[in-house]
Amino acid sequence: MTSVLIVDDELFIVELYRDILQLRGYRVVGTAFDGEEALRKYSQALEKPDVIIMDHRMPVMNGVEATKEIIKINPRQKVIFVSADVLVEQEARTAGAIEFLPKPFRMDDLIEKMAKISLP
Amino acid sequence: MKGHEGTRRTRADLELYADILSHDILNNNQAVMSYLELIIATPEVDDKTKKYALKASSQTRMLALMVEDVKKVASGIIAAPSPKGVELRKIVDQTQKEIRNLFPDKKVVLRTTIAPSAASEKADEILGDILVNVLMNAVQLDNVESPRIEVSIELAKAGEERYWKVVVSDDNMVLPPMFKKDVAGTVDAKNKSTAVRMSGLAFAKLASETMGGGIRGEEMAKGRSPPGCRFTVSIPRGAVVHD
Repeated sequence: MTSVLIVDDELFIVELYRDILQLRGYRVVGTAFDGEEALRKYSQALEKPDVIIMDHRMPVMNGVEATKEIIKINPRQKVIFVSADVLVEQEARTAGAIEFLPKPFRMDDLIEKMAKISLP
Repeated sequence: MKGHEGTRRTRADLELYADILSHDILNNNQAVMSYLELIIATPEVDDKTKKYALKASSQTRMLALMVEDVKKVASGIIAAPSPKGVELRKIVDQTQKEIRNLFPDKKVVLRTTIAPSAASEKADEILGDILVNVLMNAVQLDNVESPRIEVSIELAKAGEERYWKVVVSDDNMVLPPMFKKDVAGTVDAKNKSTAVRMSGLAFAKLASETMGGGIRGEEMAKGRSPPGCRFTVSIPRGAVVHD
């Protein structure tokens, strides 16, 4: 079962992703509310998540910075970047995100991207 | 008065606040849209409730587009096209996808014709933004379950100048009264109440005029009921094309 770490500063968005991903058969192994917390939890995790869903605008450390740091630890980590800020797409991809979804998006689009990158 | 002692905000401050506010609206909108999707996908939910949820979903998607428009207007993006162009074909494909997503409760049939003169051209994304906005209102003005809308795109010529000519037409579409009275060209702060009320058309008007073009709306067959109508958007090629 594909494991997921959700990173977003809005509790209702974290709950939304968790509800939907769990319904669709994904295993949510952690949540973080800013980039620094995500980085800390990622560094400490013995088993790294298959996919990270990463927001951009967050306090303390934003999504692009967090993605850069996580990719330094594990260059093969799959990060799906989601943001209402479409102008940040190129920066996110340069940081190492392999997919970008502009908010608002259809949940089926997220699931489709999850399925695509979870394939062995 | 204390207000006079406060910091006077600059245009850049206001843009920043508009950006932050719209970002949060989009976040909230994402949650509403997604939970509606969950309701629609739940097998136990009856068809009537699903239909209502689809209509609500359509409205939230339109709201998201309008918020994006507000962001673009507030940030001045429409006055400063992006430095690189996009294949016109890609813009058309993306537009069709967006219209399908905007109206999950309808079966919109879009037939797009690209003239040979424009087929291999690149255009700025703002052309797609304008097209999506006009089509959003076109679907609303048609107001049937399966609107059939024709779109044609060409590079036309006026003297030495070439310009994008985008025509959106529909036999069943009703021309908004404001276009009938020809006051669409006089939108300003003094006559907000009589301005073009449909925000997609208003955005198309603002964006095209900012780039030196414009939008025209007209009935197609005056004796017929409904007469149908077409919107013609023109944008100087130089404003949005990058060689």
